[in-house]
Amino acid sequence: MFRRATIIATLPAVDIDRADHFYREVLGFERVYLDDPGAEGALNVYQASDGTKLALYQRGQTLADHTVITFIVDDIDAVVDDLTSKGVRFEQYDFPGLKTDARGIAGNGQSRSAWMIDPEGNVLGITQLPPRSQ
Amino acid sequence: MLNDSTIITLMPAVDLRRADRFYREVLGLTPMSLSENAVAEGLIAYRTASGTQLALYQRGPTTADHTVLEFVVSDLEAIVAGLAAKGVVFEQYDLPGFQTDAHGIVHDGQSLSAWFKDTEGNILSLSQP
Repeated sequence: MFRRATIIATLPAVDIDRADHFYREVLGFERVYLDDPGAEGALNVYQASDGTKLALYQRGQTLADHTVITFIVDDIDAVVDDLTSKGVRFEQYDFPGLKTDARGIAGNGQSRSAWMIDPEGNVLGITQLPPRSQ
Repeated sequence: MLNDSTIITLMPAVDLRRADRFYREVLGLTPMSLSENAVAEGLIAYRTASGTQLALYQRGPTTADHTVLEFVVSDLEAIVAGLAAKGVVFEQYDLPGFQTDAHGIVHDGQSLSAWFKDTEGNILSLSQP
C-alpha cells in the first residue's frame, strides 16, 4: 500500500520568495503548486522529471548539515557550467576519497557529483550516474 | 535545465542496516539494488511504485529538526493504522490551530497529515491532499 505513495522532498526556507526566485529563475524549475502565499505556512511545490517534486516551506534556518536532495542529471559538466554562469558557487571539498576539481565536481570512478547551497542554506547535490546504472 | 533532472531525497543514517530493515519491512519500499551490496557501499536507494525515490546513506545522526520528506498517499488513515500496528509511533502536536488527534492525524478541511520518525531520527510525513 505504501509503495504507491509519491515522495516529495521538503526543504525549509527562511524567505520563501527568495527561495522561489532561486528555484525558478536560477535552477529552472516549474512551480506547480502554491499554498498560503505570504502566510506563515507558505509552501511551494516544484516539478522535475519523472514525476519527482520538491517542496519549499516557510520555516526558518535549516539545522541540517547533510545533502538533502540530489538531482540526477545526464550531463553534469553542462549543468555545472550553466549554473556557474548564473552565479551559483559550487562547494569545494577535500576529504579522503572525495576531492572536487576546480569546477566543484568530484568523481569516484563511477558517479560524478557536485554540491551547492541554496539561498536558504540547504545543501543540494547534482549527480551523474555511470551509464550502466541509468 | 534542472527541471530535466530526477530528484532524489537523501537522508543520513546512523546504522544503514537498521534503516534498511525499517524502509523495507515496515514501510514496504523496494530497494533499487541488493541490500547487502548497498549497505557495503554506504548508500541504499528505494523507489515507490510511482517511480519517486529516496536514498539513505551512512553518515551519523541527523542535525535536521524539520520534516525532510512527504509521502503523498490516498488512504492516510489506513496507512497510519497499518504502521501503528507495526510499532511506528506518530508524533503528537498541540499548537495553536494545529492539533493531532489520538492517532496523530491533523485534519485541515479535507486534507490529512501525520508525522513520524524513522529509526535514524529523520522526520517523515504522510499527507493526503
